[in-house]
Amino acid sequence: MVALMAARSEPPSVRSDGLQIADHRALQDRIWIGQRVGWACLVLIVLLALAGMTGRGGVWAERSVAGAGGIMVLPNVSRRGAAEDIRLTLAAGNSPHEVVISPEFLRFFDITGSTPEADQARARGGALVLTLMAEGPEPAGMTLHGRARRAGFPCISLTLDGTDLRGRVVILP
Amino acid sequence: MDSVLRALSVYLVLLVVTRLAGRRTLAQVTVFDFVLLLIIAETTDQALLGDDFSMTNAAVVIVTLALTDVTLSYVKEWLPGLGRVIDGTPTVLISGGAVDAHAMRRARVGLEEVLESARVHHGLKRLSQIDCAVLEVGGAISIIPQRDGPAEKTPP
Repeated sequence: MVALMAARSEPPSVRSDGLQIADHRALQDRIWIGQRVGWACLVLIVLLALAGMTGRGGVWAERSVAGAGGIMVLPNVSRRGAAEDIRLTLAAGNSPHEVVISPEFLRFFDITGSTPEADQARARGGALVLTLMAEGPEPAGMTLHGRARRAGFPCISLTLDGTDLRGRVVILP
Repeated sequence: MDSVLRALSVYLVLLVVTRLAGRRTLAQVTVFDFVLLLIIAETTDQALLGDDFSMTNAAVVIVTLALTDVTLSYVKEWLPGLGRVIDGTPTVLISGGAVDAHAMRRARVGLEEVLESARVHHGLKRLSQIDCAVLEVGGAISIIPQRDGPAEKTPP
């Protein structure tokens, strides 16, 4: 280390123009190229963010998973600590509807509420069971409000009136 | 642990982004650049502290940032090549009165900025009065006036 320090304290050589400077031109050329590559990466990050690949809106921000019991629209990408909505469409004719939120889901998301509020909420094992009364022949809509608890790549699952719906979500740190 | 990881991540992101932005931004801090700095600081604040505004969290973050900075300075000392990549090296923009157009374009420095520095620091009037100009690591432009023929000074 002492040798390294000594080498570092040596004065730079004098150039033909009289400047005593270590400008490392070859390295600078590489750094300038690296900078431009870096700018391209920054552009790519912004484009991906606009497309929804970093969560919270965008064309690819969410997808839907359908089953006999209904449809679940969940985010493709979420962010740890960010508020997130998971929209459910419950098939008509099954009232009262039962939504079972799996323990795996709850391990990665805190459920802070729902719109409309569930008529009943109870625990079943590690799962959360919400019951919703619905009137009329149309499918009922329900939005689960949550917040991602931890980063990861979980496969979260919900059961809508007995139908399992699964979807993988990327949760960014 | 969370606070330490946050601080390290933010330090790394800021290091990379400021390095990619280049030195020119430091050399020419405009009012808008200043506003941009404030916005970045505010955004970073959220990422650093999250929803924990306790003194303990703030202290952990500050200590982590300071320690990371000290560690990096030692790493740069041990690995001079890495130090040159992280901090950059001086760029000679004008050598012996000849303008290095390639270097100026790559460093995003215009002749106007070189002339401004020559006027401000040496009272020089023309490009021909400049022997050498160097964009320093800190972002400032150093001017060495021509020696043969005294540099024309502007009256005070």
